[in-house]
Amino acid sequence: MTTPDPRTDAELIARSLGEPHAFGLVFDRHVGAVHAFVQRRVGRDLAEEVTAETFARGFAARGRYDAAQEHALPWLLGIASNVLRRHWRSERRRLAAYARAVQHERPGAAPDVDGDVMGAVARLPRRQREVLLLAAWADLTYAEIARALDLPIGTVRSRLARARSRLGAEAALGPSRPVIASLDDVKEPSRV
Amino acid sequence: MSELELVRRLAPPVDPPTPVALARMRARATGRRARRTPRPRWLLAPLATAAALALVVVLFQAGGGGQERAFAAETVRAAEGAPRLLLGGWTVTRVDEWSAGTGEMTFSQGDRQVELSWLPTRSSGPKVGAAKDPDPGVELEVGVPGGRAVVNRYPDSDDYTAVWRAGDLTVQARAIAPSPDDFAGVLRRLEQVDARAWLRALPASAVTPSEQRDAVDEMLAGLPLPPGFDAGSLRGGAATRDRYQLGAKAAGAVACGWLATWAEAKAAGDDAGVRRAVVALASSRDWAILREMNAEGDYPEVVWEYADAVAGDGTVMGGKRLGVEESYKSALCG
Repeated sequence: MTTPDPRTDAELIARSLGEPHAFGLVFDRHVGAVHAFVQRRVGRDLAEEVTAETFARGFAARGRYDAAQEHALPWLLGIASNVLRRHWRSERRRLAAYARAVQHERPGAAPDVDGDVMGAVARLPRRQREVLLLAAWADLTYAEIARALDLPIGTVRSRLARARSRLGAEAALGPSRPVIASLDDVKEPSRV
Repeated sequence: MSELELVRRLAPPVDPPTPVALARMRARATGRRARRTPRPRWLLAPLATAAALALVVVLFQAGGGGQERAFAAETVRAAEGAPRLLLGGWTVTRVDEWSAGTGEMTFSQGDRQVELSWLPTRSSGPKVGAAKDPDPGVELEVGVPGGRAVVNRYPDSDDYTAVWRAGDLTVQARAIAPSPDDFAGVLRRLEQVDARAWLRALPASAVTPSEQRDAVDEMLAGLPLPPGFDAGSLRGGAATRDRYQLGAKAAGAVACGWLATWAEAKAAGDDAGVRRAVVALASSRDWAILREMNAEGDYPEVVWEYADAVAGDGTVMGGKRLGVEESYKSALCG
């Protein structure tokens, strides 16, 4: 068993300026979380591409990393969010298809809250959806989301509040569960 | 339950990246021949450099190209270095090789797809029978051309993989399937064919080595070429390429040449040089190859993002705003 490197992400990133391979340790720490977040949003086919671009952009921009921030995951997820903006058509299509699939797979479960909620997520304005999904699917705090998206924390709170309000208005909340294995089960009409 | 909790609970399950995918992403993340392009394009570089060479194969059926082609000797020789696997009843919808003995294919049948990849067998490549985090409830062997494939399933999913050795290559197949038996049945339809039969089965989007010179020239026709541009290296490929990826290579070489020109002129205070590069890059929205590719992937949008950046404040978004000079190579250039 190998011993985890005790250095912080900030220390490794600083070191990678002279020793680029040190960035590989940052990659190893966070690739799972970044890949999972990206895959949930755009599916398996695009996840590898977007994740790779996220780390490549991070590597290119590491000279401007804020050394006061020990943990790099919010920074990386912010980069991922920017990369994902080019895939917004794909994301909306997949979320909408996922919502339909959830409804379709649960005959007799009326009203289908899960499908309603996922449909509402797909219809959210992009900026609200970004904040919501960083909170819900990446478990970032308000402060971390603010850092990821380079926003004032008040803006994060207001966007999240608006997103939640909109979801609440569109779906009556109640217990249920997802029943399809993956967004990748949903047929994607074309590569985006 | 709050709205946030509900959305959190509805998060789609995810599959971890494969070891091969991790190797590709890691290589790019640490700047080893980093590329930022649509997926197949950047797969090339890390895989070519990674010692671990794995093969992902998609199952397909002969006849995908739909037209008879005459194949030059160099094309046949190159094909002989591939596994040349077809999947009975399935159609080849994509093939891309980035070097001899390394490539991937997609086979389609209705809504279903099987992906096949192959790499030279090396110490750090995928191990036969050693899928990452396999579901212990699913482990069986299936006879495939040249050997026996070990089938695994990712836990709590219907995502199956099979890895096997075929001569000097390691081959991997991956597909969504309703059951282990179904996936095994698909694998049993694999057949190895001779080079010409394999080439005949490729889709029209496959550009064979002997076709690449003309294809590249057609892609470059009408494009403003940057100073010192040399198309020679684009024309001499020894493997069958996917047209989209070849387009990214050709258009990317032009765009990167102009971005380098822009950066040098800007640093030298050469306003006329900057303007020439800005105008050339602005024309990229009319480049036929990019317009064709735009229906299939995002590479053109990245070129246009940079074209807009040099015409504007010289930055693109990347978590923080990034300067064109510091980011364009990893974004666009091989």
